[in-house]
Amino acid sequence: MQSLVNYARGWVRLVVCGAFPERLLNLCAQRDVTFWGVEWLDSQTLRLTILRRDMGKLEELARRAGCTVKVEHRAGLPTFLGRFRKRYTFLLGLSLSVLAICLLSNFVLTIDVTGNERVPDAVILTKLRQLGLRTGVYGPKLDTKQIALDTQLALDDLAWVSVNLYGTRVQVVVRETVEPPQLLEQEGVSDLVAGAGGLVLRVDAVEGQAKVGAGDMVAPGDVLISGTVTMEGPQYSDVPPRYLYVRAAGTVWARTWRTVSAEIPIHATVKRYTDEVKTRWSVGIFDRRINFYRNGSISGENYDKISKTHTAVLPGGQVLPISLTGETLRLWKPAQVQVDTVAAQELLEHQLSSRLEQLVGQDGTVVTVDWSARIADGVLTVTGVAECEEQIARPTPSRNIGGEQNAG
Amino acid sequence: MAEKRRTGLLEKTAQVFDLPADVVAGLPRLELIGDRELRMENHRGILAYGTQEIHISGGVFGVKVCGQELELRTMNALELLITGYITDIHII
Repeated sequence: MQSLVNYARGWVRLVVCGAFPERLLNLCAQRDVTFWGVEWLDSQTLRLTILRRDMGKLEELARRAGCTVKVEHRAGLPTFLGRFRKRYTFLLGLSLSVLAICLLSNFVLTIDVTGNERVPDAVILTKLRQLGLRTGVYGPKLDTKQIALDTQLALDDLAWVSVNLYGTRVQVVVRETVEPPQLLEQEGVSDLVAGAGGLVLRVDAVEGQAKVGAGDMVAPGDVLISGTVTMEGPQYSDVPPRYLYVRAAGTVWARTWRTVSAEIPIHATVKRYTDEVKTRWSVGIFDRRINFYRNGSISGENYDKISKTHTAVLPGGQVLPISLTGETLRLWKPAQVQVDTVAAQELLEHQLSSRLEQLVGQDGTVVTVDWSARIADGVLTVTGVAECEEQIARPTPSRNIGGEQNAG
Repeated sequence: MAEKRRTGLLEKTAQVFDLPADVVAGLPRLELIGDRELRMENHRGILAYGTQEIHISGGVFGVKVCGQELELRTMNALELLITGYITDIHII
């Protein structure tokens, strides 16, 4: 530890020569000149080490003691740094580096947005940019409270916004508004009609009067559960029937047969890449882009551009606003090729299966599918006839009618 | 036989009142740690220096430290530290 302290202070190894060198030691002790490593070379010469700062004092004491002092070696941090005193370029570079660190640490390098689920980061960042908060902006001049307030007012989906500046990083914490629950429409009268034709398997009428039963065939648009409930009077009485108007609710399960088809040309135009490849580089600093190529325009349109961006990331994972982008431009020429019909048919069948699943809904099932394919006029057409079981009842728009009316 | 040293007034006072003489009279205080380290307080300076013998002024008397590879490790106005293989310490 002591050697480290001595290194930081700097030390000088001296050879003292005189009639009474021990007198110099006594003077040093009296004048608080710290010394160590005393070696007696002969009766009139001794070697000792002192701190660099005591050099002037020791020279004065040596004059008083009638001794001559010869510096043998200098070491320590001050001596090391002293070597750079006349290296003006180095000092200039060092000063500029320190200045750059002090200055650049005040600019915003990264903006982190947290707390959002519905509102995309891009929307928030765009609004912040419009309000003056972007990478590269001078941090101390930012009015973070005002920016947070303006962002909150500008974006309706945000209930609360906080903008915190931590050196070069800006943390934007948001809280989104809670969406109001979807209200069930309970006013008015409506029926449930068939969304698709088929054979009714089961009817569960929760509200309203079932108009069909299991085993009935229905066409699209047929009323399945009516919102008009007929309340007959007692048998053999003259009481006219009464009608109760409700919003029909319930489920009607039916076996349906759906036909789906899709087509694809069996000849397709594809890109055939040539050997002509151009690579150009650019560097992005903050929002600016520096291109290392002269002409940005591309001759011809048949170029595919593949961009690969390497972004500078700190060891902690913090992304810096510095990136290197390499763009590879590959020239292609159109070429006609014949599509593999088997693969094309599988592709279309897969797409049609997905469409069928969408048509029958989450609860419905596709029981069987009969696929057929034909090629005509250079087009492959795939048709699927599917037998499904699905819930076909769909509500009609509500009508405003009074609660209970007589038939008259 | 060594001549008996005259005792000073402060030293006598320290003896009478049972006080530490190094504090009251400024007498040298020697602390020997094993045979490798000698610390001396209230010295008056080095009189002679060598690797086998070091003479130190203690004011009213001198101290001769004998040994091998003796070295004055550090020294200031109040105390000094000698290291090496110390074999003898004489009051002179």
